[in-house]
Amino acid sequence: MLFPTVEYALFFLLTLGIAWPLTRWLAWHNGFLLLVSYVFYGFWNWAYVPLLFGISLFAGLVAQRIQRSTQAVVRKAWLVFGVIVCLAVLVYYKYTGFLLQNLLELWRHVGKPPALQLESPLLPLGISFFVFHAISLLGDVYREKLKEPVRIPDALLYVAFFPQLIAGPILRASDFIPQLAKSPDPQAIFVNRGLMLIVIGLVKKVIISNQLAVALVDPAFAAPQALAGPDMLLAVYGYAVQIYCDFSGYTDIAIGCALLLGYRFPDNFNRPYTATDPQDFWRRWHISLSSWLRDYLYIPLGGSHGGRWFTSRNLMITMLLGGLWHGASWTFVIWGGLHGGYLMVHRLWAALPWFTRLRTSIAWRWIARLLLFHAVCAAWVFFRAPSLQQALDVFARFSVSGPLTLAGGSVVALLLLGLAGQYAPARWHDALEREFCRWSAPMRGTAFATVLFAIELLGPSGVAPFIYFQF
Amino acid sequence: MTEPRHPLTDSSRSLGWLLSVFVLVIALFESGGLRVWAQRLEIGPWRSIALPVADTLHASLAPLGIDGLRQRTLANLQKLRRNDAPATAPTTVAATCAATPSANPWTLITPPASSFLTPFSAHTATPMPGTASAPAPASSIDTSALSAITLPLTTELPPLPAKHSDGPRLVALVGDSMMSVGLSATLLRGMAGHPELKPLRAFRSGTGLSRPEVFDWMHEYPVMLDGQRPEVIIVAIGANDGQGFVVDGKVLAFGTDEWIAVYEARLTQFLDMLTRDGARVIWASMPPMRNAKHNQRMLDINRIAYQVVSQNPHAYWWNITPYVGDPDGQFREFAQEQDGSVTRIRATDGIHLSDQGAALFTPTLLHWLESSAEPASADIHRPSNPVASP
Repeated sequence: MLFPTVEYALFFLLTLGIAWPLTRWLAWHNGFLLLVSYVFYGFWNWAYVPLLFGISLFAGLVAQRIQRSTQAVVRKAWLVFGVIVCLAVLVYYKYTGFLLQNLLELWRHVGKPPALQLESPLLPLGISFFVFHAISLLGDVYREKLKEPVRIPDALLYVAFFPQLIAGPILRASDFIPQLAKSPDPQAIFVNRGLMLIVIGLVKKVIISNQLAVALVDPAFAAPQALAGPDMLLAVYGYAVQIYCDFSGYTDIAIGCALLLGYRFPDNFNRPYTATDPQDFWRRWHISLSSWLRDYLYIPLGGSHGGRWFTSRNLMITMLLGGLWHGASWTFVIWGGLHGGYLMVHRLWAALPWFTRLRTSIAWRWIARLLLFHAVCAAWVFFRAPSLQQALDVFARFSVSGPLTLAGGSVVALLLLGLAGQYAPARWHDALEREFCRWSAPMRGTAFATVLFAIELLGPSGVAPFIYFQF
Repeated sequence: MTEPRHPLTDSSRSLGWLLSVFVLVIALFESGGLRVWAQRLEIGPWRSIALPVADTLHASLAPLGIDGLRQRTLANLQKLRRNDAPATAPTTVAATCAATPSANPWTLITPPASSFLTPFSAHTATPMPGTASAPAPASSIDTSALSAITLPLTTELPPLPAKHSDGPRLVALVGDSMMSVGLSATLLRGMAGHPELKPLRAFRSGTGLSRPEVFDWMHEYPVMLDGQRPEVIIVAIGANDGQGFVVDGKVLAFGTDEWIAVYEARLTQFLDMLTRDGARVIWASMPPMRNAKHNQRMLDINRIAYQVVSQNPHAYWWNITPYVGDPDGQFREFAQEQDGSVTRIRATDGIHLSDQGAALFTPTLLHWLESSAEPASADIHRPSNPVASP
C-alpha cells in the first residue's frame, strides 16, 4: 500500500477513527495498531506476514533473555546470537543471489565452476528496515538504554508499526517502546504539524519527485548514450532532487501519520544539500540510518578512538556496509565507498591548521556546499545506474557537447524548487503551524482537502513506488 | 494534576471534526476521481463494494458540476505538460511510473494510476470490444483449442519496409512494464549509436489490453506517437493481462471462453491499429515467469497473442523463451555462460527482465533493424542453444 493512494487514505482514516476511542484501553489500542500494521504489510503479500511476526517475536524473546541475564557473558552471548540470526535472515533474503553469483565469479579464477541453477528468494518488502529495528531492540536492551522490561506485544508493534514499516525512519527501541507504555493523550495531538508534514510529503513525492522521474531522470538513465552532456548533467542534478524528495517525502508522510496517531518519530532529513562537508551531510541525510550505523557499527568497530588510519578504516567499513545495505549490487558498494572516501578525505583536510580559519568564511561555506553537492551527485550516479558500465557511460557523456533536449521549463522549475526548498527557513514552517492553530477545525479540514485536490491535479497520472521500497 | 496542554496541539474531538469536513470536501471535489479509482480496482469483492458506493456518490454530486470542472482542468494541465516538453525531446508523453519492478505479480494487475485519481486522458477513440459501447465478439479459439496451440521457437522475419522519408527509420517501442523495465533501456542504448534509427517511446508500466477502463491503448497510443508514423514497432505487453474483467456488468473470469473471445478481439483491434500504416510489428512473447500460476496465465496469453498475430501479415510473433528460459523453457533467474560467468537475467520480482536478460536477445533485433531494406528475408537469429517452448 503506497502512501499517496486512495487505499492508504481510506485505511488511515479508518485506523484513526478506531484508534483514538481505543486509547482508553491501552492493550486494546496497541493490539489494534499491531493488527492494522499486519494488514498494511499483508496488502503487499500476506505470505510474508509470518516472517515479519517471526522476526519481531524472536527479537522480543531474545531481548527478554538479555534483560533477565545477570552475567555479562551470557548477555553478550544472547546479543550475538540474536544479531546473527537477524542478519542471517537479511542475508538469506537479500544477498543469496548476489553472494552465489560472486562466488562463482571468483571460482572462475581458480577453475571451471560447476553449472548451477541459481534462484534467489523473493525479497520481502521493507526487510532491511524491520531487521534493523529488530537489531536496534537487541542493542538498546543490551546497552541498557531501554530500562523498561520488554513486553512481547510492544516488541511486535515496535518492529511492525505501519508508518515506518516499509521505509523507515529507523526508530530506536529506546525512543519508541517507552511511548507504548501509555496511551497517546487524546487532548494533545499535533494535528497541524502532522497534516502539514503529510501535505509537504505529498508535494515532494507526487509533484516534484514523480515529475522529475518521468520527464527527466528515467529517460536519461535508460540510455545515456543517446544524450549529450547538458542533458546528462541536468538528469544527474534531477536525480539528486528526485531521491531527496522521494525519500524525505515518504518520511514526512510517515512522521505526519504517526503524529496524528499520537506518536513521535525522529527527524530523518534536515536540508541535506545545504551541508558544507561530508560529515555534516550524513548528519542531515537519512539521519536514522546514519546514526544507526554510527551507534551499532562504527562505534563497536572502535570509532575514532585509535588514530587516523584506524578511524579511516572504520569509516570505510561502515560506509561500504551502509552501501551494501541499500542493495545487493556492486554499484551500491561503490556509492558507499565514495562516501567513505569523502569522509576520510574530509577528516584529513579538516585537521590542517589553515583550514580551521578558512572554514569560517561565508565564501568558503558556499564553495564547500557547491563542491560537496557535486561530490554527492557523482556518487548518486552509481546509486541510480543499473550497472557499473552504465554509470561510467553517464560520466562519459558529460564531455559530449550538444543541446539540452530533455527538460522543459516546468521540469527545470521543479528541480530548482526542490533545491531551493532546502534553504527555506525553519521559522516559516513554525509560523504556518501557529497560524493554522488559529483556524477552526472545519476551516482546516476544508483547506487540507483543497490542497490535496490541487496536488492530485498537478501530479502526473500514476504514482511510482517510493525508491526506498526496494531496500 | 493533569499536564498542561501544548499550545500547538488539538484534542481528538477537534481532529474528528477536521477529518469529517475533510472527507466531505474531498468527496465533493473528487467524486469523479473516486469513481475512476473504483473502476480500476482489481475485479473482486473490494471492487464490488467500492464501485456502487463511488457510482452513487458521483451520480448524486454530478449536478453540482464540480467533476466537469475537474476534468477540464486535468485536460488543460495535460495539454500544458505536452506543450512544455521540448520539441527535440527523444520521447513522447509515455511515462514509466512503475519502473521499479513489483515484488508481487498480482500487484502488477492494479496499475499505478489506480493509486491516485487522475485519469490517463480525456481523448476519444474507437472503443475496445467488450466495453460499454462495443459488443463482445465471438471467439475463434476456445479453452480446449487454446491449450492445443504450439508456440514456435523461432520466427522468420520479413524484409524491413521501405522508409517513409530520407530521415532516420522510426522504431516504436510499445508495451507495459515488460517493455519499460529492462527491454526498452537495452534497445534504446543499442539504437543510440545508430543515427539511422530513431526510437519512439510508447510504453507505460501497469497497463495492458484486458482492462481498457484502466488504460485504454486505443486512446493512448496515438497520443503517445503524437502524429509520428513508425515503420517498425516492437511490442512487449501482456504481463498484467492474466486477470478477469467486466463486460456488460458480467464478470468474465480469466481463461474462460468468453474471456478469450473478448481478449482476442481487443488484441486484434490493437494490432490492427499498430499496423494500419503498414508498420512491421515484432510482438515479443512473455518470458517464463517465476510464480507458477502467473507463468501458466502468461502461457495462455502467449497462445492467444500468437494466434492473433499470426493472422496479421504485417505482424510477427517472436518467442523470447529460447533466450531467457532454461533448457526446458522454464524460468531461470541467472544465466551461466560456458566460461562459468553468471549474470542476473531477471529482476528480483521474477517477472521483469533485467538489462542483462534483455541483452540476450536485443542484439538480434538490432541486427535486424540495422539490416538493409532490400533482402528477401532476415531471420531472427536462433539462440545458440534452442530449447523447447512449453
